[in-house]
Amino acid sequence: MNMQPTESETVITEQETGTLPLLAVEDLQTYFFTDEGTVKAVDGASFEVLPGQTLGIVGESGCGKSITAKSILQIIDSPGQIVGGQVKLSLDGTESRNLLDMEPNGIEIRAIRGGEISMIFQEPMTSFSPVHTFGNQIVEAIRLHSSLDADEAHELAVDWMRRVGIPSPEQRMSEYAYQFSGGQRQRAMIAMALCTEPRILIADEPTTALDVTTQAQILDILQSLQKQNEMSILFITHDLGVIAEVADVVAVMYLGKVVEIGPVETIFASPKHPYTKALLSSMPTIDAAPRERMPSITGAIPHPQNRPSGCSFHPRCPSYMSDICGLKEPELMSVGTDQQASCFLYGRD
Amino acid sequence: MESNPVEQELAPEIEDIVEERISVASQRQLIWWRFRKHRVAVVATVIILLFYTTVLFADFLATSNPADSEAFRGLMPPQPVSLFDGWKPSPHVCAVSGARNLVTFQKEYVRDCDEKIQVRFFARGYDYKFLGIIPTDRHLIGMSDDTLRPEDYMYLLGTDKQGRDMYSRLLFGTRISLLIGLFGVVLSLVLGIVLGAISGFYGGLIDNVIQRIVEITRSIPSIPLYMGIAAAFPSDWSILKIYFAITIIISLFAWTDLARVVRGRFLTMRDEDFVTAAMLSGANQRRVIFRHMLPSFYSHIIAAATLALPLMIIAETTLSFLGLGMRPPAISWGTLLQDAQNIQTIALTPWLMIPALPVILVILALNFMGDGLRDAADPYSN
Amino acid sequence: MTEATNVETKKPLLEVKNLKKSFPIKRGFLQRTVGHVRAVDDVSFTINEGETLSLVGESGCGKTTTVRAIMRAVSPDEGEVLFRTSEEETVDLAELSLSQIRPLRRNIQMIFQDPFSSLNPRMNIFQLISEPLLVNGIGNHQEREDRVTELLRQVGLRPEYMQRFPHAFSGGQRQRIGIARALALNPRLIVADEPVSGLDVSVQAQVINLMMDLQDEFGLTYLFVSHDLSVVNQISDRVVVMYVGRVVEVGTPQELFRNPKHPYTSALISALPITDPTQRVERPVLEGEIANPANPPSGCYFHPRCPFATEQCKVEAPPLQMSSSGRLVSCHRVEELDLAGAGKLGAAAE
Repeated sequence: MNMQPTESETVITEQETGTLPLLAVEDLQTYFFTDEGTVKAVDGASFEVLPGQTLGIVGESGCGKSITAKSILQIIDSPGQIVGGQVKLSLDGTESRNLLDMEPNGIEIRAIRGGEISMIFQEPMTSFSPVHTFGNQIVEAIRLHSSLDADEAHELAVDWMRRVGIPSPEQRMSEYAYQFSGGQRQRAMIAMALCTEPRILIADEPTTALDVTTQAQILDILQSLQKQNEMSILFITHDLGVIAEVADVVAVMYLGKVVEIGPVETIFASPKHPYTKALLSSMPTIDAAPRERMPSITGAIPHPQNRPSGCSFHPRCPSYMSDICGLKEPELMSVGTDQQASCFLYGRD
Repeated sequence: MESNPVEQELAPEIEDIVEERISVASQRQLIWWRFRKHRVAVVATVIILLFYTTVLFADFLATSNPADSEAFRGLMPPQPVSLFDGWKPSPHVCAVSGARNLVTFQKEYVRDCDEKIQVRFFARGYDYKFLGIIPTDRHLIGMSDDTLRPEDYMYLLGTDKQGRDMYSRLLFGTRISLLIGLFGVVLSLVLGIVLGAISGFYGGLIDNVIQRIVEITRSIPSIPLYMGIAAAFPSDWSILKIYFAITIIISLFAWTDLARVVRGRFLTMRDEDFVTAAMLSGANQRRVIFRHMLPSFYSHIIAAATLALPLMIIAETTLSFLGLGMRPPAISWGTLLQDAQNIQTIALTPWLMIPALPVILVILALNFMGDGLRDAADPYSN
Repeated sequence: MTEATNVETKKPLLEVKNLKKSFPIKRGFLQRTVGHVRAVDDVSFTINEGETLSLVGESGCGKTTTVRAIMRAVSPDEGEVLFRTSEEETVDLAELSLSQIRPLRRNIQMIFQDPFSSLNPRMNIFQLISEPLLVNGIGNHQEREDRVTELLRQVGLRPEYMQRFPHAFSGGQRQRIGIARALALNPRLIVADEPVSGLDVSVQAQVINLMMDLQDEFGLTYLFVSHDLSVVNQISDRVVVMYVGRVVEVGTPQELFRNPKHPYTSALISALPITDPTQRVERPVLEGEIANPANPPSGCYFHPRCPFATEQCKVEAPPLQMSSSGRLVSCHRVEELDLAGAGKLGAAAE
């Protein structure tokens, strides 16, 4: 049997001058104002998503990846607040709207949620209303963002259930969320998110709670639906293996900032930021020799409230330079073709 | 060892995830700190503590003997204390003289502010035993000896029909009402904890049976039930007997909340890993329950108990108000409010309704305090 | 270090034979039993002294229930759990009463999955780690304190932290405390139930390294439970693959990952994301859902999803047997199938 690796498209800057990216997040800042102090959950995240592309955001706990996703659609609950930055959505490549300018929960942003931008979550059980049938919910989603009547919406819904691989879709329409298994709920959530044909799908750890074989099925569905609909995906996860499978571009986050961003092959083959390097080498894989000691990163991730001064990774960094790393915060700078990292090893300014 | 994550290698910035102070704090201290942040609850606690001091010091705070009655002083309106006499600071009350209006046959009281009765602290009053041991006649406030005449009196909150000082009676009523509440809570605590623990720890049929009993108990309408039971008291029982009988009856219905809380905690805790870990270390069942599970309960129990107290107080007040609980000459908020049951009171002598105020205040304060305790007690709320 | 080829010459420390455990499903007011969840459905394996044996599988495979049955946190319905104690006698843990088990508890200790619920928030670290010592009447206060100091050093934590409470520590540090607690009694066997699943990736490596170092230093024996094949590859000497309460295959990580003999093992490996973006292959994805342990299929539980299922598979459950290549596999077609090479739900060599 032939095994041919499929080529992943790395479309980063193949654009004519003047074409705006589909989604451009610039210097996003979301802080949580708690009694104990201000937690800078996201402190200057920037990245772009191009049409048809998958951007993977990877990071460990406290890095702010989920908050970033929620900030895009302005679904941050208090005490969290978006305090700075821009999220520019450009559907035609020429004009863009800043999503953060829109009234939170106003008509404009609600049209976008579930319309141009859809989101799926880690825990599908809590994403569905337990007291409404599944059919009820997906039809509502369709009708909110289109002018179809009830019957047409129902037909479309059943069609989508079939496309995501749920058996006997007609029957499942009148069932409740608890009657679905974990994998089916995730598929149902995908159906509900995609039935309005969004341009961007934000997937927040969609497979983390699933078994490995179910995860493979879901990733498979996502990728085939993405091709069919020419959709972009913003895929958030802590699993580097999944990122390697699905992403075209990777953004690595640490304590609220994007520390490295670039095409997926480049990031895996030649990571530049010390955190990315350490993360990649500390991952156990099934190719590793047994009982091999994986290098680990010393220490633990600091609590976002106790963020270290200067570069937030410096206390754990094997390449720590005492004269600058603890004092100044590095910015993203170019370290290769289409690759950026925020580290003073590659330039001080 | 290649990448030995020994803590000595860490830079000082990330050595402590939290401050030293917090990290050595026991759970009890953490709960206290969390509670302190809840300002309303703290204020409520202070209020409750103040009320309970009146329990201890009722005699000291009173101005007249609550049993003293003089028919011709009946239904006198409150005498407000003025702090200044012209420009001089001199707390006093105006003398009051009363006469019966021969047309309406109603008492009419006239304040004569030329006759001033000085008020001072630590004045002499009626005899009593301070804290039940030390005989004295000093009270917190009273009339100063100097200008005293036999017909002078000081009734801060007026008098009732029989001419008894409302203020002093209110203080004594507070004592009884709050104490009944406390004894009742202790009783229902015992019942609730025992039944809740059995229910939660053993589960199965026992749990089923006990829970159904709880539900049946809760579904019986309380007032008709109290009325029925109280009506069964023989009328010749002494006040003390009635007092305890009421307490027991109320407890028999108030334990259900506590039982549920305790049962719920036992059920969740049974499956916690640290309880399994304790069992796997070789601890016997008794040690697992008392050393490992029970300490997690204390705060929840206190919170539930604090919320059960208002129940008790309302129950006693209601019963006495309806004439089915404490009976005169016993003094409680309920019996005091018995006098407020008619339109004459509301229209003509509204000061007789004043005992309702401490009831409202204490119930509210207890609820806020209990809420604050309950929120602070949850160890995973951070 | 133990080597796979020497496994047969080591003495078994724990032998699990035909273990079964079901949980009744109760419905209705009277709690009538309407069915059973067959959590563990005839599981057998052996652990040798000094080795690390991993139980691997997806949800519903019964690995957690298996270890809880071994530790007698639940009582097995059938089967034997033969354990060789320090006095060189073999006892059947499944047979004993709970009070007979208690003195044996010092031989088997456990590390739990959730670093946040496995430590009693109301006890400080000293109390937590010394509890096993206290309960078994070991040493006086000073000796216990010394032992806790020693243990904390061994797991890489400062002994001064003894007076602190669990909420002061990160997830990785709490797991180390859990490891220290498990080591306190010098147990012969340590059961680790998904010890790194709740940790960040960079911290997982620390804890796994620590566990391996401790094993080398003290000759520990681990029964490791995980759903994560990569972790299992790193730490195990041998792996038991489970599906819906049954063992489907046993082998070393090398054998399983390079040359799986059971279609489910092959599917598991195939489903694993490859951490190399230049190697994205079109892989056939295993269809269907994991079988329901309350209502499993007839015959071989895997047959509805298996690309190689035959009529026999639908009717007859395959026994766990030694194949001609020296592997324990539970498949009727083990001699015929060629599943080698990750990424293939390969073609049967007809």
